Amino acid sequence: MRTFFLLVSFWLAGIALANSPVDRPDAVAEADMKAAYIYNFGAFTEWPESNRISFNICVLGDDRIGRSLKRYEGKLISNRRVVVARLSSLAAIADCQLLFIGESEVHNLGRITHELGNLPVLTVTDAPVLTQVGVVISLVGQRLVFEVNLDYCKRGNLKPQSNLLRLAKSVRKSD
Amino acid sequence: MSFDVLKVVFVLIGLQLAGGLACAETVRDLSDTPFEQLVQQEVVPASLLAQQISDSPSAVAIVTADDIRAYGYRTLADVINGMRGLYTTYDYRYQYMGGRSFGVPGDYAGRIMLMIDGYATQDSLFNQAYIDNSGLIDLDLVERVEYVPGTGSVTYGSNAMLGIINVVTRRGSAFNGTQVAGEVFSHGGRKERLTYGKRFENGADVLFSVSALDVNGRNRYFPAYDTPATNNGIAEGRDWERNKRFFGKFSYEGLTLEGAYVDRNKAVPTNPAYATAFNSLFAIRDENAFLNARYESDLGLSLFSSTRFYYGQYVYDAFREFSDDSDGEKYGQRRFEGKWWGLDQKFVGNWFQDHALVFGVEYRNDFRQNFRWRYLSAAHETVRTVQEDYARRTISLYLTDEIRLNDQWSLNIGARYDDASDLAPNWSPRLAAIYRPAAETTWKASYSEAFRMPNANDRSTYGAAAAPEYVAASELVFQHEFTPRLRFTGSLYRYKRTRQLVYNAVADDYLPEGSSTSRGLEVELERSWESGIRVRGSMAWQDASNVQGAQLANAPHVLGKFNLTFPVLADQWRVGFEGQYLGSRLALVQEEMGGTVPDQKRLGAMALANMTLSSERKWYGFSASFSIRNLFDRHYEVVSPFTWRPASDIPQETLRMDGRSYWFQLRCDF
Repeated sequence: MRTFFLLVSFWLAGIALANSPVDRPDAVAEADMKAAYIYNFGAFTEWPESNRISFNICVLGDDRIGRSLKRYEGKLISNRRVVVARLSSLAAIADCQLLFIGESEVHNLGRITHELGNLPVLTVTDAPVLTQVGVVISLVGQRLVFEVNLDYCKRGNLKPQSNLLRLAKSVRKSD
Repeated sequence: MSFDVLKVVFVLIGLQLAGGLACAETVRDLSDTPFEQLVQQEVVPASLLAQQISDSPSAVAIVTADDIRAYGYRTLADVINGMRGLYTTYDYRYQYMGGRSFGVPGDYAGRIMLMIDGYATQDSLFNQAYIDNSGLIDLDLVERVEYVPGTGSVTYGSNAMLGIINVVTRRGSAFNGTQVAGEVFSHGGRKERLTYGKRFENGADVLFSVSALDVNGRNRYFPAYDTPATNNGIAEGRDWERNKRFFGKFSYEGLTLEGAYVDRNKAVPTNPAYATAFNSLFAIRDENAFLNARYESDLGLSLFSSTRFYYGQYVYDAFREFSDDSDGEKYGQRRFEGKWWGLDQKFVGNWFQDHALVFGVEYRNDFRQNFRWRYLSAAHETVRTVQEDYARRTISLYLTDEIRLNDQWSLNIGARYDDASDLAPNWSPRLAAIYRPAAETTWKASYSEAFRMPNANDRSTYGAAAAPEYVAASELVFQHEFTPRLRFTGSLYRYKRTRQLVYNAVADDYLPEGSSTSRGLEVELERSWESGIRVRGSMAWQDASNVQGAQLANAPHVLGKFNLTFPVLADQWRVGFEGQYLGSRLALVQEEMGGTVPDQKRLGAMALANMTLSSERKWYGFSASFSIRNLFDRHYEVVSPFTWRPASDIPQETLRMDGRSYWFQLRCDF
């Protein structure tokens, strides 16, 4: 019995050592990178004037990204302090500036767009539904790319800056 | 835990720490990286394997709806048998679960919690979690099953002492219409189900389902009763089973209403009590029902509230015939009834950076815990009745804080305080450290203490001797994703149970002075391919002792599981193959008539295989599944919970289980 424990422990040790994260030191977890993108979408957008003290980044239906975003709390966007909220219902979405909608909440998109109307809320998702949101992030090979729906942004009087649009894979606009 | 193992573990942690720290310097802070550079950077894709949804710092085992379909699981017991380190034992009445530090059928009830969408389903008399046809839920309605090994008292209080089974039901949108299903299976079994599920434009989601099961069963042979006076050991027509189930769920915005009902009737072919007559009608009925209403809302951006009201009830009916009616009592009837309600208010606070606070208060009122015994004469007239009534009110407070120390380290600290009306208050603490040196690797170390309150049945059986029992658990978990499709999970644990009830000959009573230790190791490797192949293999070694320090009965040293599923016939069908290995284990100590204590019987190791073929696509709305259980028709026995010798003087330490059996299900969606 004891020998068995030892053998398996050594096996574990082998796996642990063989796969110390040295082989790909620069690789970043997908959720961490998405969080970085979301923060940058906020930073590279011109926001309408507001009396709020906080800049609210909300996450619906994706706990991993919600957790990753936490480390951006306290940073400044448009001179407002970033607050990250992991939402469990649609009740507070109108209070968000940036709203990330995870895969499991995409079926609620109809209601979300209806409720937000022309409010200045930038919606972001990783599902392929560009017509209904502001920005879509997707994984192509080993890199993340994003597409911007300029028509949607105009509705809420949001102005993505030119360097953001330059980095986008594509920009959707009707004219 | 042996010293050597500890040493190895410490060396391992040390190495990982060193590696992690070295690596920490090379991880760039993404928040200060220019966006132009970010878009050039490669990412490690998120896992393509099932991820746990519970926030537990232990090695959670997960079975998804796809697995349920692929492996033809029909009850929670089937699901549990496919999970790492777990097994079940059947005694023709109930399925009992076995796992880390528990294996004896009587040890199961009250120590494992079964939750359906956050509602704890155990009854208030025996605290049993029903995982067979007496369980509340049809598996076709299940989205996923998580088994959280180890203590859960820090969040859920009593009953969550050795583990939690967490069932998440499907949404109505998963059906999006009506589904009818018909099943036929071996031993004259059939089942019908009607399910309706829909998500409406306004966001409301509904799910309703009814089902009925009817099994004729078969004549069964029991060697211990092989005498001319007891029908040569054959129980004729005493194996039937029937159940009816109802499930309904409605959710709209933050509100969810959910209810379930099951009524299961089973004839018992074995002779489960010393005084009853073999091959006479011994029928049991289990009725379980609950209603759970939950309202979730955001109170501003950093405070989330979940309010829950629940009501539950359980009825146990039994009818039996005694072999000796010289005292004028020929038949016995039992009716036990439990009713309870509760209110739970939970908050999640995100006020502080790097802290996630969960806190709340729960009130539970077990206002009815009734036991009724009625004894009848041969002419069915009441000769004698006995009744006992109990009740309990419990108020509990809980608080957990998840603290993010930095990108790699986080701590999970919590405690729950339970104050029951008939017991001294109790604290259940937990401390866990989680270390993620890289996105693919997670280490979790935890120490926790949990307890179990004596239930109504304990109070009835042991009287004043009934007392709480405790466990202290330490666990180290290692998870590593080699690729998003290949994951390794390893877990090393030690459980110390204390204040277990044991019979003390001097006091001539039961006293809470027993203690026992279990330790073990579990490893699991899981892999999937883009082509649809999924494979999972696990091994578990455990060394569980009883209060005497000897090997615990019905607790094998080694358990192995192997699951493989792949598409066939141009991806139209899917094959699911399952292999289960159960190492040798001891039967219960038998009561002795002569005086000398006999050796405990040891049951040999055994391996079982199951195979399922299920359709991946629908033709005109039709889909089907076909399963063969015990594929190689192995004749095997399991440990019996009965310890007395009938008149034949042959012990009944084992029960023979079924050979090969078949199951066919046809579904139609419209």
